[in-house]
Amino acid sequence: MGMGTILLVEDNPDDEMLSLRAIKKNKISNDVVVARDGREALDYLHCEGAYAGREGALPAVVLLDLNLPKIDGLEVLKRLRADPRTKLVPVVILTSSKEEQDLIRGYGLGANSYIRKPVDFNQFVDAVGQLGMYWLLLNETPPKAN
Amino acid sequence: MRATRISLLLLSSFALSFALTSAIAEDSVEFKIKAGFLYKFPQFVDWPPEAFGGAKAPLIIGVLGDDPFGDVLDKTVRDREVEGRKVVVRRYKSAQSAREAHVLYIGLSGEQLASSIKALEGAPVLTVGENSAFNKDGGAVRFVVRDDRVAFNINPEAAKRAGLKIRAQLLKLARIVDDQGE
Amino acid sequence: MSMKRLRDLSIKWKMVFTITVVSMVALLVAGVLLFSYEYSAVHSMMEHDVEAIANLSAANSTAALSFDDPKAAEDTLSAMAAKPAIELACLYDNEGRVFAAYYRNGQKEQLPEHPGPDGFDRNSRKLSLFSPVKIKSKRIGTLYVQSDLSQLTDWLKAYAAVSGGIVLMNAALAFVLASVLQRPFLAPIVGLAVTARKVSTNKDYTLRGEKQGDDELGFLVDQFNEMLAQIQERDKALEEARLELEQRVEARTRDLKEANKELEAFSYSVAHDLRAPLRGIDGFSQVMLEDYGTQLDATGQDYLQRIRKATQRMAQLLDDMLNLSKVTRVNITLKEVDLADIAKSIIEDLRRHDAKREVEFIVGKDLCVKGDAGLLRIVLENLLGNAWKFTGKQPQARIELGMTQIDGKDTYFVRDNGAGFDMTYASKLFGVFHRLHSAADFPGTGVGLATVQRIINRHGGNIRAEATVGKGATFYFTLPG
Repeated sequence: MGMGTILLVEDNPDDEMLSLRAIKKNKISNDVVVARDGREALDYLHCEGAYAGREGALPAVVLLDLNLPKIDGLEVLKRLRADPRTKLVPVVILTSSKEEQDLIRGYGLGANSYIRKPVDFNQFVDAVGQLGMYWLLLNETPPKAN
Repeated sequence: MRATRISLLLLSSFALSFALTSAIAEDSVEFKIKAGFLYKFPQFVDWPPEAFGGAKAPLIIGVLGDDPFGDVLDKTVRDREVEGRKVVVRRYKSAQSAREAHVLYIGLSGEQLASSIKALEGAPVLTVGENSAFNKDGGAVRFVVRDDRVAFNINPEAAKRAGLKIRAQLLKLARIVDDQGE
Repeated sequence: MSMKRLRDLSIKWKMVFTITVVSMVALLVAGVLLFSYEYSAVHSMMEHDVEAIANLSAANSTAALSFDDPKAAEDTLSAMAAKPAIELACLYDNEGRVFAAYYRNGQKEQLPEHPGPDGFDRNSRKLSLFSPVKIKSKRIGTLYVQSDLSQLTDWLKAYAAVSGGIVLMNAALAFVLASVLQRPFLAPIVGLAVTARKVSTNKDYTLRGEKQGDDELGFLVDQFNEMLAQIQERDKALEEARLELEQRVEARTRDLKEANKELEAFSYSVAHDLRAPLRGIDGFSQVMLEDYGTQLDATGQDYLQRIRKATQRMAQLLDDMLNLSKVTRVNITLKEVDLADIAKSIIEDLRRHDAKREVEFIVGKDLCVKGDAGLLRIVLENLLGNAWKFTGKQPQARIELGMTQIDGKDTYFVRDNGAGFDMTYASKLFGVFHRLHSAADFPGTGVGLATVQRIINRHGGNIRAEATVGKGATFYFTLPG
């Protein structure tokens, strides 16, 4: 896959483990950074807080769960988009809900894609594979903001 | 000659009596009526109270002089009453004695008539006669025959002199005459 | 017709009319009574007159009769000319022979030949009197006097004319008086009527009638006003009750909204939070299989698979239940929806997910309906999904979506030639969790059709199914309005 990093924003350790496994199963070798709550995610993306002084590009794709402690997923998205640094970074919402309002808000706040996590692990693995194919290989990442 | 005379006499006497009888027969109807009148007159004449002795005193119809009525008058008045008074018939020989009568038929004429009437002056007697001079002489009622009817003339003056009042009804029926006879 | 008009006359005219009629009738009755009395009085007087004349003439004729002087008697009788009513008079002597007579205008024929009994001849239409002529209670003859009733008829005419005039005048007077005098009596009624009309036209219940006097009308006015006051009270109470009801409804609505919100939150929770552990269970079971599968025998692996299946099934259940509750809660937005479009997209999805299968899909015409797009999509997802599922074992599967007329109504249907079902269990078809096939034959949670029914019902329609085992099933539904 391309050289970009994957930022996985996920608070549930089970989901985290399964997601990492799914990524590995699809032979995606890109770096994966895991943020376990909204704060961490923002800090990483904005190179602040715990990640102050981080040098490095924005991830090629952010896999964002909505159900996060501290700052929840949609709020993270909002702040991301509000910040010119992270305004354009591709965000794929990866969540259990397919409630219409979440979809609307998600897209409304600027998510690039919205995936509902299947319970069936095999299906999940397939989905992750497709995600990787698309976002890491096919998709052109936005240029770095100046 | 004597037989003829006798038969003639007989014959004439028959004739006479016949005539007389028929005359009498006719007369008797007329006199019956007149008798009735005599009895009816009092119903329309008022006598002064002294003319009667009392309420029960009889009404006297008298006849003075010739009595043409025979018993017709008596028969007519028998059992009759006028105003509750019995009616009696008396015959008088003299006017003087007749003063007691209420109705007096005077069958006299001429001088006898006049003197009789004079003799009755003042007495309340209704004088009734037939003589042509009756009213002139002062008689109150005179029978006449008019139109085949028995009528009478009345001299109200005479009645008045006698103190009698003749009712108008009666007067109406009569021909009124005065002392002159008219 | 005229009776109805009479009834509709104003009470003023009714009263005037009544009074006039009453007074006329009273007067007429009095008139009639008076008339009959006076008639007999006049008649009696006439008889007395005739009697008097007869007696006078009789008395005056006594002499003429006595002295047999018919002329004098005639004279006396002729005095009767002074009384023009006397038609004829005649004297009979004591033998009953005519003695003298008087004729008003020479009516010799009418003369009775012989005197009748003394007194008035009651059989005669005229006044005919036989009177005895007496001299001092001795009878000497009979006098007959005959008088016409001209006096009476003249009197009758005069009386009728005068009475008529009086009655009419009285009627006019009564009419005028009544018209004037009714006013103070009827004014309060009229006033009340006017007020009543105002009240009902303007729906103004604050008006009150004016009481004039303490009689029955005053009482009526009081009661009327009392009623109006009660109406006002009632209106007020009604208004208060209405306000209270509105408040209660608001409160209830608020409660319901809150309950709904809670339900939504619950559903949301169901959607998210319950699924997450399921993912864990399924995921790690799979991981187990992959990483440690070799250490497990077939049975062990089978167990893990069962765990996974159960987990997935639970996830599906959760989804279905979520859908079902959403269907009841969500607002329906009605608009023109083309079922054909939705169906085609669903079939595409189905084909994509199960590309191996070859299914013939027929879409009919006139499938534009009015309904909620989202909900109707769910309906078709379920029905078509079921049809897809149950034709799984049918090599030449055919699914049809169309419209037909049943009982004059537009009825839509989804038909398949799949496994069908036993109609005896048809009543359970739409119940929640009821399944007519074992999970081994056909997967399914048993919630789908319940959802479909709920959606159809929310659109005001109904749904039913017909099927033959082994031949297929058809689901008919209506979407009114």
